[in-house]
Amino acid sequence: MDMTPMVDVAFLLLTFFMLTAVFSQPLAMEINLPPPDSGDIEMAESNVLQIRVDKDSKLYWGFGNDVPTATTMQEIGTVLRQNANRNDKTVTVLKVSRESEYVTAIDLLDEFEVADVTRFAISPLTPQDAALMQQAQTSTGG
Amino acid sequence: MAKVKRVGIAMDMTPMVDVAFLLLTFFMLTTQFRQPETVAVTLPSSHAKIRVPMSNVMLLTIDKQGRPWIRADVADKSLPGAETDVAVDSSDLQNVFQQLRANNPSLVTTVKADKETPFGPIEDAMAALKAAGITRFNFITELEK
Repeated sequence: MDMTPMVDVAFLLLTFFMLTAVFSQPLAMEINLPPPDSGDIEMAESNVLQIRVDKDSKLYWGFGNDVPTATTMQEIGTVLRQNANRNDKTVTVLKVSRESEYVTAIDLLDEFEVADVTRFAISPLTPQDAALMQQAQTSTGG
Repeated sequence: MAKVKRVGIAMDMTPMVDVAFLLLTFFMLTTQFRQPETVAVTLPSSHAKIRVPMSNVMLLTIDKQGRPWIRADVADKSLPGAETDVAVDSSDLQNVFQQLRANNPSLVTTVKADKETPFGPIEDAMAALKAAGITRFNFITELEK
């Protein structure tokens, strides 16, 4: 019996399945939120490293409620390495403006991972934070 | 000059065909077709290396305009998002999360959003997740190049 046509078809199918096989799975970063019933934890202001993002996706960093310093995505890694693990009580709080872009938040979370910042929280940006960033902007003449 | 004798070569193709069929069977059985995407998003990139599971996933997609869409692997096909991505009202998210989780408690929550999505809807979605008792979830990203 001539097997050639069958083998031809088999190879065609083989090629099709090999080329369409999905080997790439999407990757993900894991986020853990505190449970909804966990209460607020009192912390010394000087132990809270605040990373704030304003509505134009500009970055500011500072401790507690000090007037923050403007920074950039390129410099934030250095800031995190120098300050986030200063002592074992330091907690980093990420506050992102509702108008800023999602990619900024992801880039920052990624920087946290790269800089090995494990104690961090994501918190809404308050009008007080916005006012502090405004102050930082006027004090530098920007 | 001596006459060169032509010899007809008969090669046994059987082992090659056997291997071909074996590979064919392997690829046919292992192929999982990519689900068609109802909502197109451009993913941000990160250094994250956790792989997303293929089954038992609840996928929350937030499109460029900040509208949430939900899809989940649940047995009860009457639930929202059981078959394809469906748009959900953001005020209804918590409710939907709870319904889906009640139907399949082993759901892994993943969040997919466009690079340019404003952070506001993401913040609302995270609040809804937290309120629904889902404290662990994944942001889907692409590998940083």
